[in-house]
Amino acid sequence: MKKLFIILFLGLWSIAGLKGQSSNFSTLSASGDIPNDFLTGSQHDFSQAMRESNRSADRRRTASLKEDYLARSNWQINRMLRNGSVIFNDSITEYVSEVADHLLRNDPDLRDELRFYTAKHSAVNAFSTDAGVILFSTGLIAQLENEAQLGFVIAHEIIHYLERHGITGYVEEQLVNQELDDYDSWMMDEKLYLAKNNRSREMETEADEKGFEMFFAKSDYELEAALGVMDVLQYAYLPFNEIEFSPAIFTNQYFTVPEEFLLEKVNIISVGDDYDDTRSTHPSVRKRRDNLRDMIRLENKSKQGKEFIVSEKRFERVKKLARYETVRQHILNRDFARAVYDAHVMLQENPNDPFLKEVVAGALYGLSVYKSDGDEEAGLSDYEDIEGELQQVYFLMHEMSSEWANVIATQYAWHLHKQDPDNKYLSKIIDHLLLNLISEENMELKDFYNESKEQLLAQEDSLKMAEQEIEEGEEGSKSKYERIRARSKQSHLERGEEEYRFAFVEMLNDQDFKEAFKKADERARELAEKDEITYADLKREAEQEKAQKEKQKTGFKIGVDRTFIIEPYFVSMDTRQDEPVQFFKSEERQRELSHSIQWSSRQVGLDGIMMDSWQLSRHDVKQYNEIMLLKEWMAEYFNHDDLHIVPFASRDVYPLMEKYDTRYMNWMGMANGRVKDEGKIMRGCMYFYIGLVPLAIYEWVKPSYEMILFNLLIDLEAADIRFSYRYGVEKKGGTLRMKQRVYDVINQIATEE
Amino acid sequence: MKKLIIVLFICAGLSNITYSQVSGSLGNRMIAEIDVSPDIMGFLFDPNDFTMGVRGEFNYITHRNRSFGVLLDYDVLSGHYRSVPIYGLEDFDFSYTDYNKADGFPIYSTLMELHMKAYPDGQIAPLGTFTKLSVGMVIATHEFDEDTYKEDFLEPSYGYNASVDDIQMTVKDRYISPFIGLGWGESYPVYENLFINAGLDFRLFLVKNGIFREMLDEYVSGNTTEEMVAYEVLWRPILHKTLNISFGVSYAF
Repeated sequence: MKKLFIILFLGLWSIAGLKGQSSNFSTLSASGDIPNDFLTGSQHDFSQAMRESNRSADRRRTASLKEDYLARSNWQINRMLRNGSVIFNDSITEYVSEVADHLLRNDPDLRDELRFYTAKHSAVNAFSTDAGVILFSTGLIAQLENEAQLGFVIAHEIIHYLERHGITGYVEEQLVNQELDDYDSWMMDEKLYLAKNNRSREMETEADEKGFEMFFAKSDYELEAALGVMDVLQYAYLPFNEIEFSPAIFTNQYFTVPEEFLLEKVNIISVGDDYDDTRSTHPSVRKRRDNLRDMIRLENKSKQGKEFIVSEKRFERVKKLARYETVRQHILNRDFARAVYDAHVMLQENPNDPFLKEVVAGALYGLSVYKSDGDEEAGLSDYEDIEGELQQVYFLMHEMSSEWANVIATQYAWHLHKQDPDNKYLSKIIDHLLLNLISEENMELKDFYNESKEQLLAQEDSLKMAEQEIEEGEEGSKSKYERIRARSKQSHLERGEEEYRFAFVEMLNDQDFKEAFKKADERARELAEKDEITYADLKREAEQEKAQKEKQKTGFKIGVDRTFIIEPYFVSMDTRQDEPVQFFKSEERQRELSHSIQWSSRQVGLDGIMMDSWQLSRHDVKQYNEIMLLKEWMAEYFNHDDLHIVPFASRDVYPLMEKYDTRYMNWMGMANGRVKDEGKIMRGCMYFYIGLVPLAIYEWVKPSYEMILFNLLIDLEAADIRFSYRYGVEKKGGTLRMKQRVYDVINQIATEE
Repeated sequence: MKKLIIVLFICAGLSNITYSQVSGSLGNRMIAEIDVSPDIMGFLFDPNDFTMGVRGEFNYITHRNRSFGVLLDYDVLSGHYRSVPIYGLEDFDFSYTDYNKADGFPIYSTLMELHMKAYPDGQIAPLGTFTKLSVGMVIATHEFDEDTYKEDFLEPSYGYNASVDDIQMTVKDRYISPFIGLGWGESYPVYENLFINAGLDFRLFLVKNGIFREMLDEYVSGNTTEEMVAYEVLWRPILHKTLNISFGVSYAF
């Protein structure tokens, strides 16, 4: 029976393998109960902070500045926690918390004040707030070498919290700012900038020293790990590892990239750690390292510390997860070269990892779309400044023409697609790549060879004959043009200029590929017909434009019956003030806007699936994760400006679309508030001059307002904007006016043609 | 009332053949409005003479930025009459005793209007500023007491034994005139579907004031006594409706 079970299990497993591997990594997500930090508003947090802050001894000005800081910082923290990239109760956060537990085992009260979360971000960074929230980026976790290093970073961040560096720095800066003479304001700006950085460096040094003394040195961790953290920081800009990059990662046996796409030598990684830090917020790594070295020496610990106390196995696991997430973040942030290189590093350990290969496919796809759009730089950093093997990738991507980029991306993505035909993201990017190949690069199937280069070069007879005929000046069996073409082809083959034409050798024997190409060709023709300029089309285009303008007046009828309604955005402002944003009012009005949208949806019969973090309760972590995915998708989508591209985050959003049976996401935002009306004095004077005194007085005293409302209905399937709406008026955007507008937008979305 | 209902049905029918996407006020397209219309013109001419008219309005939003409606305005205006002596009458047996204007007498004005309100680009009816084009009719009746006025202003000349009863004054009972108008206004939301409104209307009446006979330009021999009694109407009642402001509330349903 047991044997039967094992056979059955193996059979099922192998069938699953044959069917295709779905990616084994999906983005990190939160779990458990949602912490209060993610549920309360900034006004609540501000009130609490005000109660806890001891301002009785402060002068009035200092107390006022502290209040300003607390209002602003709580609002910013709140926004940051809800921006879609922060997770809690995940394996990384839990691990970090346990390390913190060890460090603070003798101070449970302090431990209770601190909350640790993980930010899905590729930057190597940790961030501490005066409210006790400490964030670690996945980029940082991905680069650490051991648990002890993590312990030092935690100790450092705790000091920022204990010493209230955030609020202290802000108050000091503002007080100095006020006392500066405005006469030479540009010089004072420079002095203030340097003074501010100097103070920041002092605070960083304090965090290093006190963190080391108060927590790290008292732990069982290896003290030298603090120096290791300095290495991590010094080389934070580098990838996970330094290994040779081979472009074979995305070519096949039939073609290689030309030599001119590769650097002979890459830039050496600079090891300088003693740079001028006067314009930096942090001391130089050399200074920090020297300082810590002195402290370690003074500590004179006889007992060897440990690199791992909680768990080495768990450390390796969370580090791996962090790396996967960081690679994902690279592509979300459009850093295609970095995504490819880091994926390449990780593929050395896991050569068949489907997720990492999908990252490479996504990066190549992104690169090719940019190049086809005419952006030759494709958002790549200046490769000349890149150090190490990473420079090879940047250079390669920089040098590639758009034909090369498209062909490489297509063949790589197709190869993966064959292994995982149900992968919707791969299918989508292949459709787009083939379309670009045909419509942007003007390529057809016959432009590609279905034989290898060797096979073609071996066919010398016709070429030699062509050459001979040319030399003898005879007509021969080939026409002049045939001979020219044959000669040209030989030259190109020998020079490797058209090497990419061999990329599809295998695919051209695949009926599925030919079908896909044919479909793309038909689609390209349809689009070309629409774009073709004839006089009739010009007239039609003008009529369409007129009809569109008319529609703006008469209203649209989109006919959508169900959509995600992502958390709306609201900012309430008073531009007459130094701090124009009214934080708490913005939050309050945002909730109002959300309720308005919900109400309007109900009224018009639109099934609006609310994805609003403000409406979550403690147990709604599933929805929290779903909101996060949609926000990430939106952030990536807008990162590409107007370029039509399928976001990588789509692979995480497709299951949501299926679950909720909708392809649409609606995002609404509003800005409202009092504005400075520079012209009202002049207008009032004009009225006064012509004798309209009451009107003049009215003009001078009446408040000036402005309200802007925008709405985007996004088609997640097509990665396109289905309907956009913008309204602005120089009036107060009160609740009722807002509600009228919201209703109008939602009504247009829901109304059938 | 019957006519009003017919108009409303027409409006409702119109909305079905429109292709625009109409949100109205949170989905509501029928607006009922009630306003007061202070008689500013009257007040300007005579501060003691201030009345407040009442008007009711129904509007139906047919397009995003347009509505059609009907308005009924009722007002009690003041008409003033002043006798004007015609000098040089030889066979006029009466003399004028008072050249000043008489006390006002009530003129009952009922104004009916059909209008279209158009909201500028970007605005959605019924919220915001609008321009109004109107056509309509005014019917004015009065309570002019001939006998009282004859008694007040005419007395037989010395030596003449004539009686004011002999003087017949023909006074039309009612004045009817069509008009065309132009107006502006703005609506502000105060509560869900409840608005406050302010407006300004200008109307051009196509028939001149015909309640009272105009003053004769000159004396013609052979005029009847009646014709010789000249009078003019001060502050023609229709002037009160030429330029109006209004304030009110409206509700969308």
